[in-house]
Amino acid sequence: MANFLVYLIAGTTSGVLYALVASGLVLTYTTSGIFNFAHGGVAMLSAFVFYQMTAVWMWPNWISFILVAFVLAPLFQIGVYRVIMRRLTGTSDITKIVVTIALMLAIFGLAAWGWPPDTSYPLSLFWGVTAEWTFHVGSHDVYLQYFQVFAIGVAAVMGIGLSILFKRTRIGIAMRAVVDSPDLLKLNGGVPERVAAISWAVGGSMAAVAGILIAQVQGSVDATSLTILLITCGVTAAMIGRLRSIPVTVFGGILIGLEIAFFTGYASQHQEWTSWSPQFGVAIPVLSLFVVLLVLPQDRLRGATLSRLRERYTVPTMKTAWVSGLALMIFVIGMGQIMGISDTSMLAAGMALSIIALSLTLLTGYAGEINLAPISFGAIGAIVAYHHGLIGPGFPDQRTSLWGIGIGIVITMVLGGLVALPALRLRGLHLALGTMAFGIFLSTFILSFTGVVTIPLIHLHLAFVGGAMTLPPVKFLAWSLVSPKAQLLSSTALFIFLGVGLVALRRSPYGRRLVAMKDSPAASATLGQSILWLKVSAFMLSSGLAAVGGILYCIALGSVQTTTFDIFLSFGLVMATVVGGMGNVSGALFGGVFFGVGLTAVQHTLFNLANAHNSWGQLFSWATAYHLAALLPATIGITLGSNPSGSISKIVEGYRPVVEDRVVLIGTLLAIGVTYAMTATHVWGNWWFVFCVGMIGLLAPLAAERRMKASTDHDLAEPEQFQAEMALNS
Amino acid sequence: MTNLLEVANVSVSFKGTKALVDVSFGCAAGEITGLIGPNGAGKTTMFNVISGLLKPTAGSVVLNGVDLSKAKPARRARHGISRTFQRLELFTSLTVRENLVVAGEIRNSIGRKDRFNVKSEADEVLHLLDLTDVAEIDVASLPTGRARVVEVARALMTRPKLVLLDEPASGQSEEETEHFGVLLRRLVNDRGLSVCLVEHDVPLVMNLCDHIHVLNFGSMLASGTPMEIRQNAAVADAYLGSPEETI
Ligand SMILES: Nc1ncnc2c1ncn2[C@@H]1O[C@H](COP(=O)(O)OP(=O)(O)O)[C@@H](O)[C@H]1O
Ligand SMILES: [Mg+2]
Repeated sequence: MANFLVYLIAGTTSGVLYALVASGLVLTYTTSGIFNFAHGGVAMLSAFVFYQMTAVWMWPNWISFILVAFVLAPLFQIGVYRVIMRRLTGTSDITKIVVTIALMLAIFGLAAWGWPPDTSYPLSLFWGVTAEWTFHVGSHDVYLQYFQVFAIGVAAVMGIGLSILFKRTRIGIAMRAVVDSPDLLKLNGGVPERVAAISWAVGGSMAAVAGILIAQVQGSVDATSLTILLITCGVTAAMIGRLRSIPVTVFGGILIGLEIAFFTGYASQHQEWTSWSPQFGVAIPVLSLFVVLLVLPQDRLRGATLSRLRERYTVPTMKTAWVSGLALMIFVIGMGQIMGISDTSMLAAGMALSIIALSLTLLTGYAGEINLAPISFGAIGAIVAYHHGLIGPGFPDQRTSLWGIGIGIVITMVLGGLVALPALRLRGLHLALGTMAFGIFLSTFILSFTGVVTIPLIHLHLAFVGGAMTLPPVKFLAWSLVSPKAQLLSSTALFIFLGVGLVALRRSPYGRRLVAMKDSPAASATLGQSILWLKVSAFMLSSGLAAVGGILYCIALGSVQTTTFDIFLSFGLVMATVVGGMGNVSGALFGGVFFGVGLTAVQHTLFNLANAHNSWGQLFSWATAYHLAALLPATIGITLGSNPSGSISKIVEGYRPVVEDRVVLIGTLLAIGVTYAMTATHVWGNWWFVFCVGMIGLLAPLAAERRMKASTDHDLAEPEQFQAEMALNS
Repeated sequence: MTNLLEVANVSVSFKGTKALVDVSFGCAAGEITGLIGPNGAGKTTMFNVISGLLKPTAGSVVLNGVDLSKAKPARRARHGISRTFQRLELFTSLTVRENLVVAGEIRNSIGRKDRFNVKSEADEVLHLLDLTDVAEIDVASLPTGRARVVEVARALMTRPKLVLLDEPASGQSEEETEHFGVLLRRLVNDRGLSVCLVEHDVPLVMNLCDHIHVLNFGSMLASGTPMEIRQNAAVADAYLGSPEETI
């Protein structure tokens, strides 16, 4: 009984805080149509700022609390809405999702810059742990902390405040009108921007309060665990409210708080559960989310949500696909000649990530569905291959067999189908949330079992024995692909093969159906297409691709840990791929290589150049360069709103003048040839090569453009002449 | 004579507002049936019910004696219902020809014995509807009038028994509309097609339709031949109380 009361109090306290986070999500989603994945990030950043004010600058708690929750967080949110979110009208769900994910990654970058993750940032409860009332229940003492009363009180006041705002003020009534019937408002020409901006501000306050208080419950501010907890609990509660009803969302939040408290509490009394119970905080909301997805009724078939989306992709011909593949192969072989072992491995890993990204080309680019955890599906393939597909006598002669890769692909496809089926009945956003939940579940729960876990009946082993895994090189027929160079070349060849295959698929009847379904599910269905099974087949195929990439990725990395499959890495890959252009194979190449190699290369280049030239050392602070480079992709992702088809197509457009202008083209190729020769003969190092090629790459289009302008200026004279001739003739 | 399509006692309401109230009507085989009424009368909603995109609160949809009330849109399509959309629902990533081809491929794939050659069928339909000149163009870059014709062409690619056309002439010029009417009549006469036509262009409807049903505020106001509808006082009233000249 006494335990029951303790769990009840603790569960309600965290529950109302989850409810706050979730209500903020629902509020911003209904008023702006944008599901803000960065919401948990705002809460986390608020907790850090609060930490900075109270623990470092020693400001009073209450001033800091009010300043962060009711001034800074709302201002930040208004800025985010005005600068970023407002521009997203007319883009697809996927672009919207990816932009908020980019924002979250940027917040992560900022937090890691200001508060490096290798230190801990302890935060104690308001009034401390021992400030409490004591009650006697039977022979036991039950404590009620001041903090708990405060947390519940603040949440209640904010809830009441929100309902007064809704009922009594003009802006609130406008907001409620949107929350109640978004369709109606859309018919009347959309939400006034001021209403949306204010709802983002209010949502920011709710996130900040919850973030600060939950960090206090946890005892310290930890960027990853705090954000993941807030995302999973917030998203699940919001889904219980079906992203519409705030009262039901509040109920959902409290329900999840109680579930976690009771499961964790009772589990801690049982020996065999104790090793698992710390993970319950994440596992329970995730499992609840799956239940919610299962019981939600099937969505009504939608037409094209917008008559004309701003995203556009062109499909290359098969010839173009093969020629590009050949060019890529030549380029990679050339790079392989001059790169050292570690760089080669890194590029091999990048290529493997590009293969994972191909799964997004198929699923998102062609079929219009989104998977936010592609690397997690890759992980399943790798783990299955590790447990069921190794041949040979043991390290270092052990090999991954083709059979192992095959079974890894098949199991991942089946699992992918099972995970996605409930969400695929619903809207694209739900699949995004479902896959994200799966990714979080995998990295924080399943992979935390270090013993062998056997799934009964099918005798499938999962899990990370000893917390790490070393997947040996592939044995392909008679060859073992052991050296990094062999891995790089085989991964590249496989990428080209699969990429050309995807282009062929897109041009096939099946590909046309996928695209038709993406463009208008309603029209597809009224022509006789069964939508659900088409989606499931696309999801399974794409899981298979992710599995291939995941296996090669693990092999290229050598040894992998749980952190290799962190959900945030999946987010980064998805974002980079969308930036590259989801609809094209080239976007996948860009996504994988940029995410896996480009970032590191930029950072290393800055670092090495700074080291090699001491006078530059002061100019490039290593830390600054590093953090700026880390923020770079997130910043690019955020700008997707203005260029939603991805940047590759734009870059390609930019290079068209270079290809058309013989002189510049030959000049560019010569310059690259010279830098390559200098590098190959060790006149200078690889980093100079990267730097010079980068500079040439930047300058070539500029040069071509200048020359083109000069020649068109010249051409402009002609029409006059032409007109003069016309005049003469008439 | 029994009708090809029989819609009985259909009601639909959206959060309190009643879009359709106990509506019944039929479309005879080999005829063009008009469904008219002012804006917001519930015509598009009726098409959504017939094609299965919207579940009515009550009522049944029977095609050729088969009760399709519970069937998903895809199954209704397989039984021979095809449609166009008032708010265009073309596959905007594809060319005009590909829009037709994918429709034929979807139609052909479902374990059918009576498959046809999609390529030549597409060529034929493109030719029939004068779309050959834009066949290779991205459908997204077509003007609305042309795009509506593509929707009709795509709907024909499933070789339907019944086509529901939702305002196919809006966005088309007067000449184009006239041409379209002639074409539609030819399709019905030559191919044995049945059509249910929602259209605001009154001359087109009056000239073309064998039977007309008039919806008003979600209820069936009148049914009859064009002549009967023209002389119906209630119909004239519904159209803003204006006298015969609008009808
Ligand atoms: N999805 C919807 N949600 C709410 N109301 C709707 C919806 N679709 C249609 N309506 C309403 O139902 C009524 C009938 O609409 P509709 O069938 O489109 O009319 P019509 O096609 O005859 O112009 C209108 O009042 C419209 O506002
Ligand atoms: Mg209509």
